[in-house]
Formats: sequence, structure tokens, C-alpha cells
Amino acid sequence: MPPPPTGNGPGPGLLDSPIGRFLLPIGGGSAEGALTLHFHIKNNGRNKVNNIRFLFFTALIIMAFSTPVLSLETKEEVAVPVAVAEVSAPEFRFELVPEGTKVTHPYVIHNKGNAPLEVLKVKTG
Amino acid sequence: MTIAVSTSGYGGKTLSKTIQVYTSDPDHKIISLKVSGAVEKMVIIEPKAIRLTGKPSEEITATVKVLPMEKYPFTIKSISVKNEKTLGVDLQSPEGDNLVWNIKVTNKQTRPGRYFDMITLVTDSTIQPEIRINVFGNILE
Repeated sequence: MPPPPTGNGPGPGLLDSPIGRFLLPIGGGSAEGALTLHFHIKNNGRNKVNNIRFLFFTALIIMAFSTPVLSLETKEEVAVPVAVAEVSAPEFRFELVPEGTKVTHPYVIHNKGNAPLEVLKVKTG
Repeated sequence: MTIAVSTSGYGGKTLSKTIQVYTSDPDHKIISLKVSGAVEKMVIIEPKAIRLTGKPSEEITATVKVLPMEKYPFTIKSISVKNEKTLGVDLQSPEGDNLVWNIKVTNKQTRPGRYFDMITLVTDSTIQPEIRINVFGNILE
């Protein structure tokens, strides 16, 4: 954790860190309300390595937060139309009939979905 | 979708059938439809099937009684068998108040072995215009 800015330090809104100096807008920040970072890289080899590490982890954090948003968008895109079959009266009981009578009955299957409903096979038993 | 069920053979029983419809609905891949109901006897056939067993030298015969139910009267217009060389039939019409039709069935096969035949009765009934009776023969050596 970098030390808080003091009068003897880098100045108001300035933060010294092992990898560089940050300028943080204190008390309102920029006119647009966005966070502004001014980054001064100390010119030696060790700090260059730290700088790369910092950029890498920053990119990692941005990616982590952006992933759920991307996932939601993808789900909306893959919503495919489906058929929804509905039978109002799947059971039919006929009145007493003499043997040899051929009993017929219509069953109505409604499609409540938004894709064509296909009857693939009918099995009797 | 219309289903048709034959009630033949279900006289005096309750018929129950299930139809399975396979659909493209991912949540209802199989829809079960059910049809059921009570079936009334229209005719009494005694015995229901005929068995003719004996030696070729013997006369092998059997008699079948066909009684139409009072609610569904009919008359038998004709009688036939699948193989006339194997089986002989003689239809006797009801007499007086007796409503029973008698059928005398005679074996004609002389060669030992088993056989299957069928008697077909053609009736004037609109409900059951045809009645079939199975015949099982067993001619011994």
C-alpha cells in the first residue's frame, strides 16, 4: 500500500508507488467525473518488470469484470425457437358399446411454441 | 390426430389402450393418449375355439353353439372355412324359441400332424358383419 499523500510528498493527489507515481483527482476529479491516472515510470530495469506486471493484472481485472456481460449477450443470441405441445384432453372414455364396434376419437395437439411441431412417431399398445 | 380402436374380442371386458406420440417438443418428447371403455357382449360362442384331436380312422367332430344376445339379434347368412379339404362345416339354424345356432365341425384331414383353420360366419348385423372361430386340429398316428 503506497503512503498517503502529504505536504512533503509528491503533492496533492499524487501517489508514489514502487512502480511509479500516480495522479489521482481528489475532490471531484476531472470534469467528466472519470478517473485519470498519470503514470510516470521510473527509468530502471526493475521498475520496467513491475510495470509489465501492473499492466498484466490490470488487464486481467478488466477481463474478469467484462466476462459476465459478454456471457449474457451470448445467451440472448442463442435463444432458439422451440415447439411446445399441449393436449387439452389426453384421456377419452367411451360409453358402453357392443363388441365389434369400431371406436374412433379425435385428439387435438396444440402447438404453443414458436417453432413447427413435428409428430415423429406414434406407438400403440 | 384421430385414433380408431376395434372392440372385437373385448366382449364383456373393459378395453384400455395407450397411444404414445413422439414429438419434437423438447419438454414433451412423448405424449401419452389413453382410450378406454366397457364393451358389451354381442354374441356368446361356446366353445370360443375348436380343438379336433383323434386318429384318422376315427370320426373327429365338434359342435359350436352361437347365441346372439337379445339386445343385438342377428342371423347367420353364410358359413365358410379357409381350407375345405381339411374341414367340413354344417350350420343348423335355430328352431322355435331356441335362438342358438349350432355348427357341426368335422375333420377331413387323414395325414397325421397339426393344422390350423378358421370358420367365418357372415351375419346380417351391422355391428359385427363377420364372426371368426379358430379351429386347431391334431391328427394322431
